Amino acid sequence: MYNETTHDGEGAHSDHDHHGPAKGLMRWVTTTNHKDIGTLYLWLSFTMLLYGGSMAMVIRLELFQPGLQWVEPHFFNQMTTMHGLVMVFGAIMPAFVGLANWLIPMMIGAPDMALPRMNNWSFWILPFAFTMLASTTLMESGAPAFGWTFYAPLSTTFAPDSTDFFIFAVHLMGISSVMGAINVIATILNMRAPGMTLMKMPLFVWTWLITAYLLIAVMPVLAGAVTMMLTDRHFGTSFFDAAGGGDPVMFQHIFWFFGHPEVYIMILPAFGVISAIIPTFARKPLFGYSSMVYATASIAILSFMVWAHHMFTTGMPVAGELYFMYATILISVPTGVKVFNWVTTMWKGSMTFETPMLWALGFIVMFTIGGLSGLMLGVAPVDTQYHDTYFVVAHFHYVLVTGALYSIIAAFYYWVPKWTGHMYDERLGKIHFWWSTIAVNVLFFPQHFLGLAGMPRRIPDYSLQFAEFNMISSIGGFAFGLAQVFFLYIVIKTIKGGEKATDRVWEGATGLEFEHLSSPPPYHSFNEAPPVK
Amino acid sequence: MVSVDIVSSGKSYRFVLSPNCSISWRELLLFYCLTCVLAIVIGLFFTLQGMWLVLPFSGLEMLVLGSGLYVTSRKVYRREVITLDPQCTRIEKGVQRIDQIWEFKTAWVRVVDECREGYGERRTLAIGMSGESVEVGSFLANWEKDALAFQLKDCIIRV
Repeated sequence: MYNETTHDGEGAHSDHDHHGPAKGLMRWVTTTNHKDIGTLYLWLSFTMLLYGGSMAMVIRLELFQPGLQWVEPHFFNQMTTMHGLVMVFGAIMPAFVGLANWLIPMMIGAPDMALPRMNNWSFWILPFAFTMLASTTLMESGAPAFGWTFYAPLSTTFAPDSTDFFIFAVHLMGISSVMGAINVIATILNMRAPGMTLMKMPLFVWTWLITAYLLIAVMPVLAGAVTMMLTDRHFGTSFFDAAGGGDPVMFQHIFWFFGHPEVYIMILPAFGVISAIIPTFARKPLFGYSSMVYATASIAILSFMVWAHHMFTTGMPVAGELYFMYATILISVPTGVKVFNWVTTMWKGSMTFETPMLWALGFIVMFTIGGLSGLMLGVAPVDTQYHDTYFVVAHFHYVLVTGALYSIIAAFYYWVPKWTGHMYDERLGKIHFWWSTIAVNVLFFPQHFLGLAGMPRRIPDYSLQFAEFNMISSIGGFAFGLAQVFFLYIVIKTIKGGEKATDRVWEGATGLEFEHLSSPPPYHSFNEAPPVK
Repeated sequence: MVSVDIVSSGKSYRFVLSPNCSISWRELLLFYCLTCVLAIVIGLFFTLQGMWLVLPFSGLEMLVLGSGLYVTSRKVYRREVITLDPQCTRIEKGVQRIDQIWEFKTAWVRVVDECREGYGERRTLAIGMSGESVEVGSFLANWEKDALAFQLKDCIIRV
């Protein structure tokens, strides 16, 4: 006797989990596979890097010599604004989400992300958001020109018509980020393989869990800010309009309450990447794993308490300045713990210097430079002098380019053999590193001197005394830009072929993705949970 | 990945299979509540400063987060219960309630344990008779399926 009382579609033997990828363009449109979506994110990020980079080239071209050479001041301001927005929201953030998509399920032994359809939506929102943002450049009023910080009243009372498109684009990016963060949290909390306790998770997974939490906490603030901008512009409210009883300084508070944790959203996953690479090439376990986890959490908590160090010059009570100054300086403690642990991991290790290790070492040295200049800017009286100068530009580019971007490139070289099954060309990888590292320092290091000498940021023309350093900086900029086009060649070459990678890829590599999956991994990895030691 | 509870009362056996869940419902709820508290504190802080439009977005986001966590945790609250007694072998599947039931005569029932090639080796374990079979424990690891198959065969002989 066989009796099936109810049957809701699940076959006695279902084959649904054995299919490979769909064919053609629709594979990429309809995919819910974490690896496909990770790849889409990484390509979008690279496209945006080149797009945002091309705007940086316009900026450096104009600043190559004093005087107005190539573009109008208004267009120059559009370039600085769009460059910042595209790089922050289009290049760095999606790259880390791409890495999260590729790596988190493989690192925790899960078959996919927890909410695969939502994962698809959170990616496919982005191309529309960035197309909308980019389209503003072609509008009659021009693109937004108020800086990536979009301070009111520049972004409200005096903003171009295209600002509404900017607002909608930011909303879409926010929705995408929130959906991505929810997916990461649900995956990490619910889908770890048996035995993968929280304190056994790879640091990259930990840093992403904390990053996702930060995103969840601050994204409503950004959404609220841009919505209030919209209502101020069109619906007669006066949130940020002093004439109507509002407070433009409040906009800066609300922006930086989002903006400062945003900086950590862009750097915490980088810490996770570096914490994976250094032990592999030092052939030693990571020194102080627990302290790394607690340091990451401490940085995240502190990031909510220091936002007004961006606003020392707006005028605030001395007690406020002191609080924000000391709280900011306090962040250097957990950050120092991290740098100490990376260096100690290398101490007496059997070090080799393959390309990913070079980028990771570049990260440690140059991110530390960016961190130290950040420490200087955190000191209120010093910031009063440096505020809105090129010193600030140098500082955050050392953090975001030689910090976040370097870690993304390091991650590419480290995991691409696992992803594609092909080794990259080691010689080209090293050329890419040294070319980029020399160029990036020629580009950004002189900007410290320009800032100390008093050159303000966001200006298309400058006093003659700044000419030499600007020319040097521009030469570095062009060289760095070209190096990333060279990187595109390396990426394509690696995807198309190359020496076959072993499953473990690197002699010292550890982790589920290296120990339990082939190179490249199957389309559906971990049909069953792997054993975790 | 699985908790196989064998309830032996006289000549009947019960196996409860459940997928791996790396966080308990209680812990998940605690996590969600703490996140809500943080979001509401931030929203209220800005509301008190006159920037009340942050609060609706916080609420909306917490709703989506809660839904996401609920949907995911619901998947891992899936259960499969196999009851073997001398007359009948009963398989029940469902999430928090019984969604599907199959019944076979125990005297004729057999355990089918096969290995499939494809994207990674995957074993399937099924219970059935007369050409009809129901896959059980699809969420189990291979070694857990091996152990379960052994126990099921052993219990079928006993009853």
